[in-house]
Amino acid sequence: MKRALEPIDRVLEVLFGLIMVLTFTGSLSVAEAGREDVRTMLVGALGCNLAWGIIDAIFYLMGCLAEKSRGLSTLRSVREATDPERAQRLIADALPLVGSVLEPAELEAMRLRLKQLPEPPERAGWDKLRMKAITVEPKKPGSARYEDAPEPDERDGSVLVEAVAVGVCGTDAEIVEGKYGWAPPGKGRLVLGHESLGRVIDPGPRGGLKKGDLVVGIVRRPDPVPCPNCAVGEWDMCRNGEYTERGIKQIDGFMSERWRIEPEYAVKVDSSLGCSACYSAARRATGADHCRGQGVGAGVARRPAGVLGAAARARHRRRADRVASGPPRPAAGSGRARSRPHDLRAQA
Amino acid sequence: MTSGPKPELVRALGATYHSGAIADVGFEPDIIVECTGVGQVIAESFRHIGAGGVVCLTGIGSGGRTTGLTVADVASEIVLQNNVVVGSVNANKRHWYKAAQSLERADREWLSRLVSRRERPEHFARALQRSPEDVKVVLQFAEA
Repeated sequence: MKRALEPIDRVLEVLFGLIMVLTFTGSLSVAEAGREDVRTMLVGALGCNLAWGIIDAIFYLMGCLAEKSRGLSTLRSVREATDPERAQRLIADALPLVGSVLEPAELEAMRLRLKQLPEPPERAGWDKLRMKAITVEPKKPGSARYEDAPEPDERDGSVLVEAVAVGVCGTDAEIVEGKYGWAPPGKGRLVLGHESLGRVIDPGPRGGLKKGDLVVGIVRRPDPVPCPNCAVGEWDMCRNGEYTERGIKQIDGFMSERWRIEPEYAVKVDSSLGCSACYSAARRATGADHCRGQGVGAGVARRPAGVLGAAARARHRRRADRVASGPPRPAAGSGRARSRPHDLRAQA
Repeated sequence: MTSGPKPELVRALGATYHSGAIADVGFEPDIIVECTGVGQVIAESFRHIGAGGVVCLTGIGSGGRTTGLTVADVASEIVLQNNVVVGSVNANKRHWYKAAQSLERADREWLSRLVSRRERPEHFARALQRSPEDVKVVLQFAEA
């Protein structure tokens, strides 16, 4: 990972800034100008400084990109060279000073390793933004990490979602303990998490979702055969155990700052649900209603009384329910984010 | 457990919180939703479910001690009382939509109390450690 400024660049920048300031204050003190003139000069100088800073930054970025392009084209030439000697020469040229002391055998080893690298991008660009995720190497106890991960793959779905919260359950603990879980094909690590709640950043071209909608991601995907049950969308009853599950079995889960999902597997939930949690937490913590005015969505905004009103109405409704229905209802949330692989044959 | 957030949540629904053996609740339940996966509790469920009642198994357990009941004993109880035993996990798409509808009608204040602990993602290891007071622990990535 390249630092924003190498130490030598940093020292130079600091020195340069210092000289500029010194020159400037020096010229100010010798000038016998009036206050108005000094102010004009000050503003001018500030503007000049700012412009210089911007130009400097642009030059720096262009320099980085050019350097990257050069590296890439060298890499490509080395990989494409049919003559090993020519490839070795290219490597030696790319390493001034160091290249001159390298033995042909060492250069050959470098050439072979460069050939083994994954295909480089066509042209130099900025690395994709990276995000944080909780990942695990399945079946390896203690391998879970909170780390940088690539942005979610567009193949995961056309809807881009910002994670709000992810529930933790017994299956997560089992996966972290190395007792369960499968990484996506061709990958060593799995993004954990299957009890999701997120906010749509980009709804994509299909489906009825809007930016800002709160969504929960369905966990299971039908098996590819498909079995008779998966074929009719009843993948809960998958017959052959070849289903996949996000955060559990062969598909990355939801414990990442952003995730993608197919619109048909994103279940929209009432926008006040997320807020009610926030409202309640804030109220307990501070005794104040922190949630109001945070722009949680149309569901709340339409109600003049805001969150407080919504909560009061909900309480009122519950009182009525208690009289009307005898035995307790199961917790309303229990079906929302529950999923545990039930086909034990798949574990074998 | 007889006090703490879990019994309070149950009481807030107007229900009675029992702890201890199923035989001691003082009535024969019509429906038992078994979530522990513990052999002893499962065996008790089969034995004490009312005639015509339903036992729904949702826990995933393994091992444990044998309870003295053979499979044939359990089967006889179920047959003679016209019981239904059903296992359930996961959900189909229609259940997810139904759940979203139920949530929309649910009491927000009660619902929010189900989330008993919030941890930052970098402290995920702490989130995985269970405490007796926990109902549902979540990793909070962003404000709702």
